[in-house]
Order: sequence, then C-alpha cells, then structure tokens
Amino acid sequence: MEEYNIEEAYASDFIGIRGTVKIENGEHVAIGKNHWVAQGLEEIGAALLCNGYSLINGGGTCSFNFYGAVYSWNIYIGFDTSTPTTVGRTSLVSPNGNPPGTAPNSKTYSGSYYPSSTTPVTLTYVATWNAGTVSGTLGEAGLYLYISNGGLANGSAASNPGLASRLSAADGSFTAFTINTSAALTITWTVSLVYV
Amino acid sequence: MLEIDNTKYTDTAELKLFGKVEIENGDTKINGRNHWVGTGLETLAAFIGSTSGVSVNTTTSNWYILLGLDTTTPTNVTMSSLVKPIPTQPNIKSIYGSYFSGSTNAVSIRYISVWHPGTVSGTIGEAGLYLTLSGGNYPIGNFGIVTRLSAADSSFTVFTVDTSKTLSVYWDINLVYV
Repeated sequence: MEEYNIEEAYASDFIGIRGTVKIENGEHVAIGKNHWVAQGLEEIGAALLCNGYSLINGGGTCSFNFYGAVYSWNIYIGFDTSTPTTVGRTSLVSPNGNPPGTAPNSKTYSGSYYPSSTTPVTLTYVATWNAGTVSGTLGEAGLYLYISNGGLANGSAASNPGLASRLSAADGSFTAFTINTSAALTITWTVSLVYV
Repeated sequence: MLEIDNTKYTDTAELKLFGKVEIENGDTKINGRNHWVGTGLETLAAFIGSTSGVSVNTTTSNWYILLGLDTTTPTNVTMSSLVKPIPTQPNIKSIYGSYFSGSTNAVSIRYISVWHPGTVSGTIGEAGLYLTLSGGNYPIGNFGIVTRLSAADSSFTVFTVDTSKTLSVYWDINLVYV
C-alpha cells in the first residue's frame, strides 16, 4: 500500500482522493493505482451539492435515497487486458461471470477516522474468492459503490452498486496474470483522502 | 465561477477537491485559494465510507459563509471555527452546481453569500465555509467549518470593509480528475 507522508497533512490547499489496489493470489502479488469513473466522481460531488433531498440548482433532484456509498458495495474482476479506463465507463469490459461479475465468497469493509483529523482518512474494501472459484487471466477489477446521485446530468447508476473506480492492466496499473486456482484470490482496495 | 480546463484531466487515477474564493466590496476585489480543515476531509470521507441505509444529510443541508477579523493565524487542519468570526450571517445566500454532461468532466459548486451595506465592518482577515458535517468524529447533522480563507496563509491581503457597499463572497468548490 502506498504510504503518505504526514507532512502532507498540513498543506491543505487540496484534498486528494486516491485508490490503491493490492491483488494477492498465492505467491503472486500485484499493486496498482485505480482510475476513477464519472459515477464515482458524481457520487462524491452530489454530497457537496445536494440540499437534503433536493438539488438546489443544476437541473434535477438528488435521489431521495441518498445512501452512504458503502450501503451496498462489491468488487468484481474481469479479463479485459486491452481497454483503458474512460470516465464514462459504468461496468467492467469483460467481467468474470454474468455482469456485473461473480461476487467474492467473502468481503469486509473498514474505515479509519483519526481523532485529530490531521492524518489521512483510509477506507479499505477487501474481497476474497476461495481457491478454485475463479479462473482465467485477470486484467481488470472494479470497485462498485452505491451511487445515489439520481437526477444529475449522468443520472444514477444503471443498477446499484455501480462502478466507481477501475483497476486495469490496459491503464498500465498492473500486469495481467493467470489466476492460480489452487490459491485464494484477495483484492484489497484502499481509498485514501489526503491533504495535498 | 472558476473556469475548469477539462482537457487537462486525462488521467483519472486521483480525484482532487479544491476551492477558490472571490470577495467583492466596492473597489476591493479579492481572489484567494482556500485551505481545508479536518472536518472537511472527514465529511467527504463519510460519503464514500458510510454504510448507512438511511438517507443521510448532505453537506448543504445547512450551510453558510462567515467572515472573520483574524489576520495572524495560519490555517491548520485541526481548526473547527474561524479565529475571530463576525457572527453576522449574510443577508442573501445561494448555491449553484454544475454537473457537466458527457461523464467526462468535473463537478463545480458555487456558494454565494451577500451582506448588505453596513451589516459587517472591520478589517477582514479570514472567511470560512460552514457545511453540514458527517464523519468519524462528527454526528450526522452536525455543522461546522470545512475550509478557510486566511490572510495569514497569504491567500489574500486584508482589507477594511467599505460599509457603504455590498460585500459579496463567491466560494467555488471543484472536484476534478487529476
């Protein structure tokens, strides 16, 4: 996981929202940076704009059900190795199984909020597929979050949870690899909010 | 409102939130960049990290901009209020948001506050954007400063309010791909 220097926390012109993804499968370990898509950006933007349940200006209303982004979430994997991420993407290109993909056998979520607010906030999503449950060449993965910004320019997610961010070999974020089916596959998706 | 050159944001590995503040009071024209404090960061995180299945208050459920008189205290991320706030709330406030079509662009939000002539006075050295807070340390529905404009950060030069003129603050928040 990428480490952030505490010194960054005191230069607060910007807040950066970053995602780092770690894939573990037997002895194979891959680490890469995610790429955000519009649904992810708009979900966060809606939080800054929606006035309760009504969008004050901008041509629509926010979803009545403005739920937390982790109200429903998942991580899916896919096989595409040649399609870079574009911000308009709403799903993996070639998911494992029926879209949006084969759900992991287990998943956990945790968030770290530091008491003094001087250090980055880290949100960690972990998904594990048991040995033998997925196979093939892993070239992409997606973090799916609850997208509640209905009524915004691009609407809400076609189905929830929706793709918020993608890790892709085609982006140069990691090297595609053949899944070792004798070992579990674990993906740890860490979203950090940092002062920059 | 701050213009965003969307052609710059071709790599979407990171989202970046930043704010720019314009103050107008007669002949005085101020442009400065805000500094975020911890409440702002945690509130934003709350929307990404919340597991709530109950509709949550968004940040603008309640909001306002306050002015302040401090000219010497730089912003640090633990601040929870202006140093020397003027408690007078603006006479007028409004909020505008732009979600650009095509899924390729940034989110831009403008918060506007206007004080009528004579309603605020003194030497302005700070301003704060107050939003509805959420997050690890803040119960949903709490309320406080999320970002500050400060002369002590060299974000702008202090000025004395011309009480014969309207004072307007335009606070632009932008969320962009980087």
